Amino acid sequence: MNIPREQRQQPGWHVDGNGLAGAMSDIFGRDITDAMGVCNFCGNRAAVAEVPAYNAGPGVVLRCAECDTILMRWATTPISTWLEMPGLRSLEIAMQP
Amino acid sequence: MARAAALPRLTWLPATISDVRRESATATTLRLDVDDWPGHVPGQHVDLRLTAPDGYSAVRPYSLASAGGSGTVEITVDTTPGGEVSTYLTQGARPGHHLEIRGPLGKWFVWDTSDTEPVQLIGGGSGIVPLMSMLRTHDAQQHPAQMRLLYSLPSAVHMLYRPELASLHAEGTVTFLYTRQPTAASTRPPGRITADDLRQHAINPDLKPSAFVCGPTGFVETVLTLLVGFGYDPERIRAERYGEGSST
Ligand SMILES: Cc1cc2nc3c(=O)[nH]c(=O)nc-3n(C[C@H](O)[C@H](O)[C@H](O)COP(=O)(O)OP(=O)(O)OC[C@H]3O[C@@H](n4cnc5c(N)ncnc54)[C@H](O)[C@@H]3O)c2cc1C
Ligand SMILES: [Zn+2]
Repeated sequence: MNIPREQRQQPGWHVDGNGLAGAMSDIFGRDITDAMGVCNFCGNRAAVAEVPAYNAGPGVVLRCAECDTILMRWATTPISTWLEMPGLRSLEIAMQP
Repeated sequence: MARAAALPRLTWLPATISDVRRESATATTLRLDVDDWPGHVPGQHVDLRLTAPDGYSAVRPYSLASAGGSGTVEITVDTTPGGEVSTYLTQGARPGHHLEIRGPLGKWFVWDTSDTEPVQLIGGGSGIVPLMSMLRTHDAQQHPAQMRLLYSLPSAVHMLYRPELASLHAEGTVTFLYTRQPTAASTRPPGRITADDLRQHAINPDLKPSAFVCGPTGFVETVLTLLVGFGYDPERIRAERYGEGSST
């Protein structure tokens, strides 16, 4: 489970990485909600599905549930997607069955 | 090797609305005909895409309501006032209309039917939808795990899946928590879910239950705090937040 929001700083509502499975498949080619990411700042390890995702603005921002570091963010225009992963140390994606 | 068939790459699939059912005062269930639908497990969702004649399109996620493994694709959409996609789906959609979906999506907020531990479901508003898929799957398989539902909703006219939930309520599987207007039979004062509600109606934490919590983000946050306070193991809790646009 990811921790309730009052313990974090980001204002505004969020969904879970799980709800962005489709959007991330546009970037990674598949559903990566069960991939495990590690935060570069605090070392927290969590499934992409559990990461708080802020998508009310023009782009999407995924933040570490423990320390609020921006793990991943992207914005899509008609011609491309611009993806940044400033706070992501690693992403472990299981082999397809 | 028998299982060499690769998973189909995730693509947009054309879907035709084959049935439209009014589910409550504000919600509608849509059945979709989709060729080559690969099937889903309970808890998963689809992305739904509407495209206007001028090419403008909008995509929103919707949970699957139908039982896992059934091959049936049904979603239930509640009205978000002023909402772009939900207004069409709840009021404009008719049998024969076309749209697109992709999925099934989400590998995390899913009930694994090979688990036999007790399962506590807690839903707020339209957050009941993926939990209903779990209850339907449980029922279709005559699954041995204990499963219970706490359902928070404004009043009886907002209830989704009323015939099915009424009979589960009679069996003691479902508890309704009215936030605004309780029924005459209910002794609980109207209001948001409390620690007392969990103590009275949720599966005892000593039984090591898993829990699925779904609904508007604020509702989910509240329930997660209450569940951990009640003694549920955070590792066994899975949550799906719908955002704040969706109604409670
Ligand atoms: C994984 C997942 C599963 C979901 N499953 C379901 C489901 O089974 N059933 C269901 O009913 N919903 C579900 N939802 C919610 C659903 O995806 C939509 O968010 C919901 O239907 C509202 O979409 P909309 O296009 O109608 O509203 P939107 O047009 O997106 O508007 C949402 C809210 O924002 C407000 N708003 C919009 N634009 C502005 C603006 N410019 N300024 C200020 N306010 C604005 C609107 O008034 C409204 O209150 C799910 C969400 C997730 C993440
Ligand atoms: Zn961190």
